[in-house]
Amino acid sequence: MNIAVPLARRWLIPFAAVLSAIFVRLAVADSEVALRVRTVLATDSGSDFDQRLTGYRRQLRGLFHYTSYRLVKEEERHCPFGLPNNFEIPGGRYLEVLPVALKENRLRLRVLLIEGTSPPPLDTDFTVPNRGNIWVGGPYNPDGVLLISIGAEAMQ
Amino acid sequence: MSFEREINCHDFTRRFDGFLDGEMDAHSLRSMAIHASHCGSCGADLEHAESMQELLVRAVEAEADRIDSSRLWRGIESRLEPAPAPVLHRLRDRVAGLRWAPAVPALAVGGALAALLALLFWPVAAPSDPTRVADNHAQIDRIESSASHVAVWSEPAEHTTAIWVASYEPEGVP
Repeated sequence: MNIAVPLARRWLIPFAAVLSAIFVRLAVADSEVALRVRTVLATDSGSDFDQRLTGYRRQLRGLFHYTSYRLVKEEERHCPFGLPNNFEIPGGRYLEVLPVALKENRLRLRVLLIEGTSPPPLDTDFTVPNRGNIWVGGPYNPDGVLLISIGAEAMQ
Repeated sequence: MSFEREINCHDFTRRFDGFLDGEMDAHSLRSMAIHASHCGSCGADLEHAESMQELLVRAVEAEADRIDSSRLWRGIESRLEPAPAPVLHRLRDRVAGLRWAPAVPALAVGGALAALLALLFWPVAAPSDPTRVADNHAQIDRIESSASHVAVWSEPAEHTTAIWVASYEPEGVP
């Protein structure tokens, strides 16, 4: 008995810490959104199709008419609604994505594309289906054109 | 949109292998890609061929992974001269002599707790497969741009939307 009490005390703090972590995790899980930004370099040299873009094949082939597509960057962030996220885009650009709300299984996003100090090439508000995505194309790259997929998924 | 390099299905079939291997000039590659995106039959052929190519690559990679290189390494190892005692062993011997060695179980428990906390706060693994939404149509409420060319359009299969912002026109956009 003399040994059991100190042992219980010794375990109390770590146990409480783990329990608190579980509660915090569960509390924030409902209001989180996963943002996925994938940057693709599209060119007319060669006919390579990056295997990592297999799931996007139909979208890319249907929307754009380049001969080669290569994934140059992908980033995923989990954040609460109302918090803007900056994604770095090759070529000194930034994409600011603000998840506004989830309504009727559609996610409202505000997207700002920033290129240096010049006025933003894109400032837009739109909705996409939950787990859907939209493409932003046009930013110039010395090797071709950048196509940016912005996807969002509410974590429920 | 310009179609001066437009080709027909016959040309597409004839030059298909070269296109798949990327062995043709940029103009031809582009013409072939444009044709594949406009012609359902040729587009499907291309998609099928690319899928087959991917399957082949995966099969080769899987076979390569299956090769047992352990025997090869044992063969090499047997011919090597005996190495000095590993650093890890020497370090372990020294650690064993230290006074705080009995604290190791407590450190292990602490490490396990830290790992558990990290797991709890680690972002939930998202599916690597991208969107599988039947109707991926985006509704644009507001769009402002400093670019001289702005275009919005959708593809016919999943209705995925694209916004084009550039100082030049999007080429080949429907």
